[in-house]
Amino acid sequence: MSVVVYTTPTCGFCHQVKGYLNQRGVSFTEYDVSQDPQAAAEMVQMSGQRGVPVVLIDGQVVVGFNRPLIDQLLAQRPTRPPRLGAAIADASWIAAKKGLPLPDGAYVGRVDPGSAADTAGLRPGDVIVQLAGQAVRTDQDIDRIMANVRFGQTVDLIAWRNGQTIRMTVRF
Amino acid sequence: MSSQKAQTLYERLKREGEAAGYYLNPDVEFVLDLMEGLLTNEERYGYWACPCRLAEGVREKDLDIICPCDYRDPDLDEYGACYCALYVSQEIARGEKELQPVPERRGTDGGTGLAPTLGPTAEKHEEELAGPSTGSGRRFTQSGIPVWRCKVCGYLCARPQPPLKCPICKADRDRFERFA
Repeated sequence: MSVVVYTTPTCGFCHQVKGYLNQRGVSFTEYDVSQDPQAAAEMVQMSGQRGVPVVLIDGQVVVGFNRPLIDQLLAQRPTRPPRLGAAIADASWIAAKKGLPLPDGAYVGRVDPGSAADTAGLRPGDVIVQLAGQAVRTDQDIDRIMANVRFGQTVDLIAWRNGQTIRMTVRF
Repeated sequence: MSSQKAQTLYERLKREGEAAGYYLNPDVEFVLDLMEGLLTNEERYGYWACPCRLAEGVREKDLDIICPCDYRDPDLDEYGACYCALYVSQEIARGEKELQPVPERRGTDGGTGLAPTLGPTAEKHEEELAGPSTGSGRRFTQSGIPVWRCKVCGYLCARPQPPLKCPICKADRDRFERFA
């Protein structure tokens, strides 16, 4: 999914459409066509006109701040659940392999910087034992639980860390 | 947030517009933002290129999108607002109707959004502005005085040359075309 916005700094609807996308939490790439001749040529070729803003949603062209059409195209995007942002493995497998006394759960091998897991305070070596109020016994439980999490949601996470139980709040 | 210049320009366009039956968008903050855009373009290009269109930067090529643009009146008729939503219909100005999206009727090379007779090329335009020719093919009025049409608002006047500024919409002389 990609959203591109072609703008000029002088146009009122350009400011409005960017504000609207930000408000909806849609990330986008912006090109100032008054300064960027290549982007300008691209926009004219693609949209067959020179008015701004032009919004490109997954390759579909919207000329002007046409909110109903933008809403419609955004709604058609395949919705994917947010990501936790941690590489996980089955804790019992890691325990056997490394000879560590780990509880059942999802072993955290890596945490992506800036991800929801990172912001919540999850660290490599933690074992997730509960997520969103549901018990986690293997790494596969995480995928199952995450499939039902939506952007904007806040869920509890319980992790085991060096014998201690730590509670965290994960915001998506 | 807006500059004094933008405020002054807003007041001028509002006064001049309303005197001629044109209304500015009632969202003053939005209009002041566009005023800043017009001032930026004036500084950059030397004329009021439409703030909501990619200008060529050459007056002859941008004539149809110098604010007020050639498309304002047809867009006001059809959609109740110009492409930028700087100018709106009386109903929208009074808050009796909501703004709706205005599609861009201008093509990539300018002038293609209107009937062919309303979109002459720059060359033709200059020829027209050169004054009444005695050559063949010219249609003259009975009096022999040419008639000039403002491409922005349709104002017609019979005189040897078009006026320096349209008395109705304040468009410059080069926005006039030979009508008869």
